[in-house]
Amino acid sequence: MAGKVNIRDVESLRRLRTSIAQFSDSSIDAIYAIDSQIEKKLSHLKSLESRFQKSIENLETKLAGANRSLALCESDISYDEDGYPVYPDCSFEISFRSSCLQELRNANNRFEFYQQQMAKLDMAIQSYQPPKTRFKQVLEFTKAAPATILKQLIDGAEDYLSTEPPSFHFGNREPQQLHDKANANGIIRDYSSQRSHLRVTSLAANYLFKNKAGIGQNFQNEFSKSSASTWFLGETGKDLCSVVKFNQSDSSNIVGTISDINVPPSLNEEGVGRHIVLNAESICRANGCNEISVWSSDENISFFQGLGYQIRAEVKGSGAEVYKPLEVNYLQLQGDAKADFSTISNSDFIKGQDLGIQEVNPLKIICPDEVKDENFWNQHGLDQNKYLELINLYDRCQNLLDKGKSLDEIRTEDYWVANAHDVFHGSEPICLQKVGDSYRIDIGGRHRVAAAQLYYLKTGKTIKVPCKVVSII
Amino acid sequence: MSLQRNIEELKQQFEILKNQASSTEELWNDQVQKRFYQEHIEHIPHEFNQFLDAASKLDTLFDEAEQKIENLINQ
Repeated sequence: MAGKVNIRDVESLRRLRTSIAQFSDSSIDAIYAIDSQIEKKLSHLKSLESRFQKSIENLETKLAGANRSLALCESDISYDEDGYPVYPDCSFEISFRSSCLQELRNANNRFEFYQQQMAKLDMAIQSYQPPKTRFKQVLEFTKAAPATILKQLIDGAEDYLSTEPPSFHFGNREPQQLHDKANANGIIRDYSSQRSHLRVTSLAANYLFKNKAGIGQNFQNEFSKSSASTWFLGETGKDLCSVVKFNQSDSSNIVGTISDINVPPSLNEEGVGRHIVLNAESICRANGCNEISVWSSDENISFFQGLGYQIRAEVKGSGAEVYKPLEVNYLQLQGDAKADFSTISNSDFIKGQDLGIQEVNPLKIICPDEVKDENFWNQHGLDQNKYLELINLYDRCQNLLDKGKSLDEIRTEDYWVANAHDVFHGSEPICLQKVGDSYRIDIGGRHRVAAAQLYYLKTGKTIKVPCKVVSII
Repeated sequence: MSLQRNIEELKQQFEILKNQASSTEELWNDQVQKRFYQEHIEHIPHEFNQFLDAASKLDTLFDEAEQKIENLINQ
């Protein structure tokens, strides 16, 4: 680990941080304003097309009239006394027709020229898009990353060339540190063997499920608009394990129905069926379902009851529909939070009210965009399961504290449980911005927030997390 | 197309950022700080100028097209 950064002028760094936030916000606002102007102007210019077309139509009608007048004039032939034909003087009609023809040609030329101008504009707008998109990406990145790093620099964080996450370490903790801690408590043991293993699934497309024997099995979730299927990827091919169909009766009521559950013969072992059902529940929570249901044969009803399912529509001697209400609609809460922040910029919080540390429902915090990045969970040398384990341990620690145990007692009994508490209450709090009943991450804590949200999706349990909150005035 | 106002505002904000960044940079002297600039500040001007250039070109083209189309209508 490198030495501390020498911050000579913290005030200057704070001003830089404010400038970055203001520049990002102003630029994003300007891009939206420019886009809106382009759309407005383009729509106005496109609306003129009908004027050109109308003008052509009128001139075509006029030309048709001129043609008729000329034909009428030319047909008006009289005969002299000797019976010779006398042709009429149609020079006016000929001249009028010629002038109409010329006007029509001019109108067509004008329309063609108009179309060329519009095509040129379309091309120019297309050329404008790539630099705009790149600049927007830079701004979105600039808004998040430098502000976080500057915060670290301002707070005298250590060299971020080798930045590690806030002070928690799981399986990869250096042995020396582990023993030091163990000796300090008078206990020498292998902590890693005592950590509980969450057997929750990932909502990622591909993931590894560890069975009770600790053997990893490869699974894959495939999502479509109205269903999700889960496959076991075996050595000899793929086996379909479950299909969840989403049925929406109205805008606020979506039911996820498991239409198939198959435990592949090669996985015929305890724990896989349970895993498949829990994975289906995660999928339903992530997709805003209010309920999950499945038809169960008589012999499997007790299995589902063990997982918290209730019975309805029982058919004696056959089976029953079992269901579980999913009380919290994560998607709805996320939608509400995004709506609350839709018109709010970072600079609105520069003079915000500091509400101190509060216990916050993580589902009401806008999920960080970076979660979509496949490397998100590995950014600090950990993985998704380690973060989920952190939330589980933090929950256990809170329960023990609620029962009256002191943190020192907990630390003596299980260092990692107390350590999870330290991670949330240590020197690097999760910093949030608050608007109404919703929150957005300001600085730091993206992994902890995302882990608490994922923990809900996996287990249905909402674990409130302590956060430093600033509210808009 | 009157994007000039937006462009001018952006330039002003960028000037503030540039001044703030350069005045801060002078005070920094180690690898971490240098890397911060390389990763988070140095690339902004390039994308910013590319964007401004594209927006200005589009603005000019819109002005020309609007003028020409107006003339066509008045003919």
